[in-house]
Amino acid sequence: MDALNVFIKAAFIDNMILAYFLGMCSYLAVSKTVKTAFGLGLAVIFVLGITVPINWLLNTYILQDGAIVEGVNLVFLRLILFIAVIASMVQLVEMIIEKVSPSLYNSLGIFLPLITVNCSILGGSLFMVSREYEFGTSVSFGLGAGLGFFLAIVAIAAIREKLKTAAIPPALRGLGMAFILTGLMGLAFMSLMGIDPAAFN
Amino acid sequence: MAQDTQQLAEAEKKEPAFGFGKEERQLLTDPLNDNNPITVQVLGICSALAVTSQVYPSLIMAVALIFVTSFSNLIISMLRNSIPGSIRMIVQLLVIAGLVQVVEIVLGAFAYSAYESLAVFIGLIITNCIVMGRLEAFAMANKPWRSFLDGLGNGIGYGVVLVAMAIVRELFGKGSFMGWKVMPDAYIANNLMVLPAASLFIIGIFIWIQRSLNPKLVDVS
Amino acid sequence: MQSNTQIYLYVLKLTGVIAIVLSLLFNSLNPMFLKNKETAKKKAILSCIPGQDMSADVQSVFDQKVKISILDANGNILFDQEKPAAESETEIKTALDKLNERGQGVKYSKLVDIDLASEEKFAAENRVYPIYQYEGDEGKNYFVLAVRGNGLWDKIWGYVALEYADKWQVAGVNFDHKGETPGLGAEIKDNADFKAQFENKQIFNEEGKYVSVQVLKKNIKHPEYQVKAISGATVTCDGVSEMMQRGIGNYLPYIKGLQSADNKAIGQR
Repeated sequence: MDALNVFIKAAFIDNMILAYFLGMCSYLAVSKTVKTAFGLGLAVIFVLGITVPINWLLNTYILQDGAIVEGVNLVFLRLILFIAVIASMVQLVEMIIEKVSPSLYNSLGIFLPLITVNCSILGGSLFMVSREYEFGTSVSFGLGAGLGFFLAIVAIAAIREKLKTAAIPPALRGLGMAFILTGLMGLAFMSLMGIDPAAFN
Repeated sequence: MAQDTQQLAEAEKKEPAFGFGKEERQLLTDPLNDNNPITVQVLGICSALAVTSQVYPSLIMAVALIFVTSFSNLIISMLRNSIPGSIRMIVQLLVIAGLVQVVEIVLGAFAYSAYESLAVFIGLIITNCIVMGRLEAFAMANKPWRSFLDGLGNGIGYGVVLVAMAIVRELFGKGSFMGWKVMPDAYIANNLMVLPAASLFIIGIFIWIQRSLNPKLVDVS
Repeated sequence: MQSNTQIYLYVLKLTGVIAIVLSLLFNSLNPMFLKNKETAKKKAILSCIPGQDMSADVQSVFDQKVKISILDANGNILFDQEKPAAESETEIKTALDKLNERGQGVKYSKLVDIDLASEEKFAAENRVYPIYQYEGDEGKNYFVLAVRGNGLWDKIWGYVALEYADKWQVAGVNFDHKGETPGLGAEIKDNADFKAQFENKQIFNEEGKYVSVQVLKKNIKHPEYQVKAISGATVTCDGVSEMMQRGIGNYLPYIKGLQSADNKAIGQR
């Protein structure tokens, strides 16, 4: 499988939010203004791009049946290891950004702890396993999935900013409307299914 | 009345308390409506929406989630005094991940078809915010028995919405219930209902109905 | 305030406890999981056979009635199972050991383990293909082939039962997929009417040329070997069409061999 192909598919077609609803909690909570949505989106791209390849390495060289010692199958530790990697990576990324670029830290910092329990991060690693990506494609899958999340959250935030002035039945205001809008966005993204990723090769 | 509170206070002192009074009942029933995890707390939408196109996998998912919420609440509540504060989150995640892995292994052995159709979504229970949300909000500050009930109540509140949604989607999307055909032959299945987007519309409509009936939940912002 | 050592110890202890519990559970339940997986596969194979009672004990029906042969990439027979697996353990083991020598982490321990997903790891000329011969009660025999291809999102695969009644025709099919869109592409698995279309389709045209079964959106000119696609699932259905064409094609030398050897033998194998 080609890296670009996987990237495009992950970003537009297999969109984490619109096709799988992963990361819905932070998607709904942090999409009230475009600025914060932008920050969270960037942080997600960052963390997905790092954790998916790391988990690929762990999964291939430690967990697989007979990867360390012949006859030892550690796949039952997969979930624990993945979530531990994600939690520690998020911590590490936070510390590094704080040292290297305080301005980036100020804009991303508050979102990083939120990301550990963002379903799209663990989802990215689990999809990487079930779709049997290679190392190279797992990097592009991580980045692509992050970009997909970024696009979706920035788009909904922009729509929600406009919605403040719209006349919506009180009971549907806020959350209910956000769900229905996401559904409509999902339908719109489905039209991208017609893209033949092979054509990009 | 005063006697009641006194008794309750006494019951609180004995550890563990296995009473089942009014407050305990509330722990179970609150999440079913007024404090529903999906439609009110808006937690845990993530992993579960995608499995609701049919009733059977949703039912299994609901049971798995009830198991994880109640037992993670129980375990964390038992450990709550010994967990070092700085690594609280990691410990919670470890316990949840362990329990979810148990669910995955058990499903693979005893309910293979559900295991197949749920696939990665079993693993995603870990990051289902409702589990961690209850640990933080309740189990870290309450005794094991009550935490267990809280987890059970929230798991059930979650499962009810999940299964209700699956019933709507399967009925209109496939004309069947749990795989049995119930709609007349003349009914043409509505394919929109099986698409992922439909679950978002349905949940939006559920929230609409619930808030119309229960105006105190209306979002004022 | 606890010291760092205490914190590390705490995490280590907790991880240890969880790991031990999980490994005990895993080791005791994994055999059941593997068995379920095998049953699901046998069920998928048997479900292509017309009139098969799927409520029966799949394992025992399969073991009694199905014999598995292995073909190489050129359609030559590498191994031909003649007796039930329990009676020919050594022969099966030698044949499988030979396959396992190809490496790539592929380890087959039973004939039924051979699957196209693992075979995809090898270069085309090193692949082998399983063929499942079903012996019915009234001398009605079927050859079930494994096929695998690409759908819209991900892999699709399936089994095709062929029978010989004057000419080769499809007796039944069964498809599955990894991640096709529910309600659209996923219908190749869920829609019984779509699968039923394949029954009694021929795989050779009137001139005897191999045509496979084609899935077309419109313009069905040859209903004897063309079926109608699911609307809204063009890419998946094109994938099915391609999979049938190439998948049955892998077995073509074998099928032709049977045909030319002795038509009668096909029915009595």
